[in-house]
Amino acid sequence: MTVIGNKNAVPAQLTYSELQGIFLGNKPQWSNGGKVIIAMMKLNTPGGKATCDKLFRMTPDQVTKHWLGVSIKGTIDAPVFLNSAAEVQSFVSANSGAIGIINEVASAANTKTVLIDGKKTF
Amino acid sequence: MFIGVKTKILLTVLAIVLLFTFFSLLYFPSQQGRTLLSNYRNEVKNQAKTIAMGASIALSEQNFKGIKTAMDFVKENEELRFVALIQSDTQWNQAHTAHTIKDSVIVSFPDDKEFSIDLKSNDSLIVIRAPFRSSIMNGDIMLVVSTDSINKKQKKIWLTALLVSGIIFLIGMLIGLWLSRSISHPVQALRKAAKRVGEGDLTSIVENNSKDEIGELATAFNSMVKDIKKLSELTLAQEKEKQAMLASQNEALEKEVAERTKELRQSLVDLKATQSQLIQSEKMASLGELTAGIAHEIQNPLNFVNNFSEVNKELLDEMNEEIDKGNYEEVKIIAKDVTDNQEKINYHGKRADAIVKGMLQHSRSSSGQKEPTDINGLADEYLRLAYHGLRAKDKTFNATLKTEYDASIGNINIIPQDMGRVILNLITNAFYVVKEKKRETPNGYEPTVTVTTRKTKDKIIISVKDNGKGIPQKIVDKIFQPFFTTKPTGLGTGLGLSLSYDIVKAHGGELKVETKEGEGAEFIIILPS
Repeated sequence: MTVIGNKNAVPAQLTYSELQGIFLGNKPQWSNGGKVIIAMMKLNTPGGKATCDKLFRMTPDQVTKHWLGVSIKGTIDAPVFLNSAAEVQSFVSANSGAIGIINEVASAANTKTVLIDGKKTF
Repeated sequence: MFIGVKTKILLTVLAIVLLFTFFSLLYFPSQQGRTLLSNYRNEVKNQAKTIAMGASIALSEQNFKGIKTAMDFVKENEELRFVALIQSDTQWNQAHTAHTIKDSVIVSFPDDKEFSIDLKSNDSLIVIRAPFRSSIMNGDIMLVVSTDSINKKQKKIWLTALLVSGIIFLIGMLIGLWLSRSISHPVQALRKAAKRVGEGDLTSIVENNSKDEIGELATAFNSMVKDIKKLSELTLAQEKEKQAMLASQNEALEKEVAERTKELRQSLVDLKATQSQLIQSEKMASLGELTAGIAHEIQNPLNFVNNFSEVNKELLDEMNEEIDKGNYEEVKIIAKDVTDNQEKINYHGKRADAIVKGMLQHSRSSSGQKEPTDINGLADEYLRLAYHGLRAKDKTFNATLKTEYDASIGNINIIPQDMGRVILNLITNAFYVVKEKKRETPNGYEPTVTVTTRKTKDKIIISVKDNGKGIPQKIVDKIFQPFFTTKPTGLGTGLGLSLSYDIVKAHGGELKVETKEGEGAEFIIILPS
């Protein structure tokens, strides 16, 4: 799995636990004050399922429930679930502070690969 | 209880105002409060549904925009107490034969709020549960909001209603006062004026310049008073005229009455004189009846006196002849006869004297004093006098006299002259009727007059009964009336029975008649013993 981030505001590297915290909605904004925007593939896609498995270590349903609860609390915006890795890259590229996770290596303008525990993939 | 117009108007206005106040203060605010609460409840329900719909979309499509928007909207509501996501899980038993639905709170906002999952709506809270369904989970969105704002609005409505009601009440009462004043004052003025008119003051005028019905009423009243005044004056004049006429008529009438009274008094005097004469005539008639009897009674002893006097005269002539002859023995015999005759003359002379004295005693005016009297002797004496009196007038008349005297009666207290007159009158009448019947039916008829006396426990009864023609039923009620008689003119005054009736009454007794037409009559005197 590769984590990509918008060149603006998103740090170049994170630890695995920081990444988990971000994607579980525990971090509403970046250190520069920018809003954290999460993008990931829909949970019924292979990329989405892989994300649940690798990042959340939960089933897709559990992730959905988690984000439903977070949405109810309203402390942070729920992730934007997209159909493909390309759409995730495109979304991250277009939104400042956006961070996404995909299951393939790709590059897009205005994005960067965020290192997790110093690695490009995990 | 008297309630004036003013009070009635005020009460009416007060009732209307109170009614309006009731609606504006109680009914309308209550309705508005309910509507507000209902609307608010619907609004909360819509919010809960929106969240539930967002939850469904989010769970099925991983699209959380809807739920976020709904939540943003809910969070703006200051009355939000909490919103919770409740999952309904089906829990089967071990045999997988039965299950229960268990609700559990997944998440709530604010998350520090403690609440019961079974919380229900009450006066201060609105609790709405909106269900959602998805392939991942089923459950409810539980949205709880406070009704404080609604309550505040309701209080505001109440205050507004109270203020409005107060103003309306004040205005209503002012209108009521004005109305009562504008209506009751003229009516009261009319009432006072009408009262004064009723008391005779026809100068009462009601001042009223209003152009309404009351003003018209006042004008009509004033007009009526004027008419009454005119009519009253006219009536008064007519009354005076009538009174003058009446006085004149009264004067004439009084004169006429005085003249008539004078005439009536004279008539009364004449009538009394006539009555006295008639009574005297009746007495004289009775005396006439007696005179014949008396004459008969005296005639008998007088005959003896005359006869024996004649015999004595002849004996004395014979005695003188014998003296001349010197036949003294014969002289002595003649002298003895003369003496015997003289005794007889003396006896019959005394008898006549007794009769005359008795008659004199009866002919004296009544002393008016009751005295013990032998009623049997009195009745018998007058029976005989009446019979012989009638026989003296009519030698052909004969009648059977029956008497039955109760010897146990003894003397009773009566006025003998008066009661004798009654008995004589009844007996005379009895003889008259039997004589009349004998004249009409000379053959086969035996005139009979029966006199009886009887004593009962407390009464003395004297009866004079005849077997004449009886008294017709139609005149029975009239026979005791003064001047009523069936005898031909000159033979009766019509006062006999009337006087008899009065005399018996004066003795505390009763005089009655029992008769059967064609068979005779019985007059009964009942006296207290």
